[in-house]
Amino acid sequence: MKKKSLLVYGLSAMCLSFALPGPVAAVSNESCMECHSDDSLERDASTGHLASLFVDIEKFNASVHNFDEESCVGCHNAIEELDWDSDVPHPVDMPNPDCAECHDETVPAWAGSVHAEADITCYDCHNYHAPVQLAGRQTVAMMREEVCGKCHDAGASHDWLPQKEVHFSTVQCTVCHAPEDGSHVSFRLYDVTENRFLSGNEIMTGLQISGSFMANFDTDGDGVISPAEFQDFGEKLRERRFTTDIRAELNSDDGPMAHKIVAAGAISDCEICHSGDSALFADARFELTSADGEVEFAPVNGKAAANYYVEDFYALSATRVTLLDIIGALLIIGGFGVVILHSGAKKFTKPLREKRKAEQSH
Amino acid sequence: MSHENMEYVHPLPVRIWHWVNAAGFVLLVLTGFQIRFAESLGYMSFDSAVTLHNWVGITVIFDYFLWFLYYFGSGKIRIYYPDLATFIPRMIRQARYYGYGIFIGDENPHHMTAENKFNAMQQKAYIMLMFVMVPLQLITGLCLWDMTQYGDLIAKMGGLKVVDTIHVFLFYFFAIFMVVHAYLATLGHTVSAHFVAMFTGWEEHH
Repeated sequence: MKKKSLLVYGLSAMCLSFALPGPVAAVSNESCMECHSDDSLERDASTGHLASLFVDIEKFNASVHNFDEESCVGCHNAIEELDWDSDVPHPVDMPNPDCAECHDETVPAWAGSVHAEADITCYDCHNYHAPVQLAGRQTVAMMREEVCGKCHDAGASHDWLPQKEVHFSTVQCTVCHAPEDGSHVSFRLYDVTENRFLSGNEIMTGLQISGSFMANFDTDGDGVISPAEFQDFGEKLRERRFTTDIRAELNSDDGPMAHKIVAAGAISDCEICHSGDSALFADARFELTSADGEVEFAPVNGKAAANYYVEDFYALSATRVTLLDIIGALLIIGGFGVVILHSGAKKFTKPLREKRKAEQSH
Repeated sequence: MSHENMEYVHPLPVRIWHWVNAAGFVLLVLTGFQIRFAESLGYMSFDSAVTLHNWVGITVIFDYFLWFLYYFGSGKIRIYYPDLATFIPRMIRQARYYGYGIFIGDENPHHMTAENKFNAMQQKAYIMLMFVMVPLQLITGLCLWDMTQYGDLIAKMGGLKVVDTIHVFLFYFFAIFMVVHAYLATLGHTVSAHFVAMFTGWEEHH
């Protein structure tokens, strides 16, 4: 009997342990939102923490953390369980989430930045509960306004930079201000009649093609869209009567080193960009966004930036059109050729003229 | 200086325009090559080349207006207008001279006077240059100088790449035009005759 009772108690305890909230995994976002959906929820700001405790779950759901299936307690991991009998069901004085636990390359890169020196943390740029992946989502101008523009008025400085507005609208801030990160030219299709970028699905549907972008346009199968293949893509757009521009921008690769923002060490030597062999323009990507916000990057040879279908992107020296230089060289060779041949013929025929002159004077 | 057999063909405003333009174009070509081939050429830094190119470009634009105001203001612009009735045979005659007659000692079929300054080939070339190519180069240069301010004009012309292509094509054309122009200027009765005349204003008749 005693043995049977023990067994029953033991099984009951096991069942109960599954039913009750477990340590971490069982603290669902929904249970957090029971309190944190209240936009009046606040705490004493004198603690040095953010006063508002409200979390906009819709913004969180649209964040890159939610896409990566990260939960509230994934970051706020000091909360192991919720004690609903307490006034506040979790510890109140918790450390801030340590982003480096996951972003183990990004945070050390940030630590060497001018932002770290000024105590500007991850949240200041990426928001508290709605960090979004910036690459492929916005234009350079939007990123400047919505991210860097929170603190910086780029137009108020950069007076040394010729045509600064043009640079601001086509070059991501971090290309110059995080020079240890790589960069690439990004291509997207901009619908000029509707004033918006087309999604990957709209592009493929509009082109009336099935399969992936690469399968259709990387005809030599080397994994990169060559300038010639990019030309084929442009022709296909024209054939299908797309009312779009191929918009190009110079973007950071947005790797960890994009967070090592510098002020004094920023690129200010024009020739790092404006040079025919600039590494900044070596690679390009065609960006295909999906409805859920994910971005597929099709690798493109950076020389495609010189293509005439990319109507409004031109960096002096860096994206020059080679065909134009060949025509120029032929013009110059032709001109010198005429001068050399004509002057040579004049020299060669000098005896003729002298003979004629002598005859006339007699 | 005796002015016997001499004619005053190049008035002072024309000479000022010409030499400012010539010096400007030389600098624009030099800085233009440096800007376009920054990685291969190194006679000045990219930013110095851009700055100099911009300032010289602005100077050349003002210089063009000097030409324009002088020629239209004085009515002398007529020297650029070809006489359509005789233009084609005159041009053939002039081309024949440069291609053949000059070698055997024929006389230049064109006799320069103040009222009839250009031969038929010059008229054809200069009317294109001064009414089409130079203005187009100045306008595209202005667009590239401030792409924000002239954004609408750039869009009307077909976008930045079209504007740049026009500018670069004409740049190559002007670069070689100056070489050919200087060579043709040596074909006077002496090698330096036309060069001297372009400074003094007086051309000698032969």
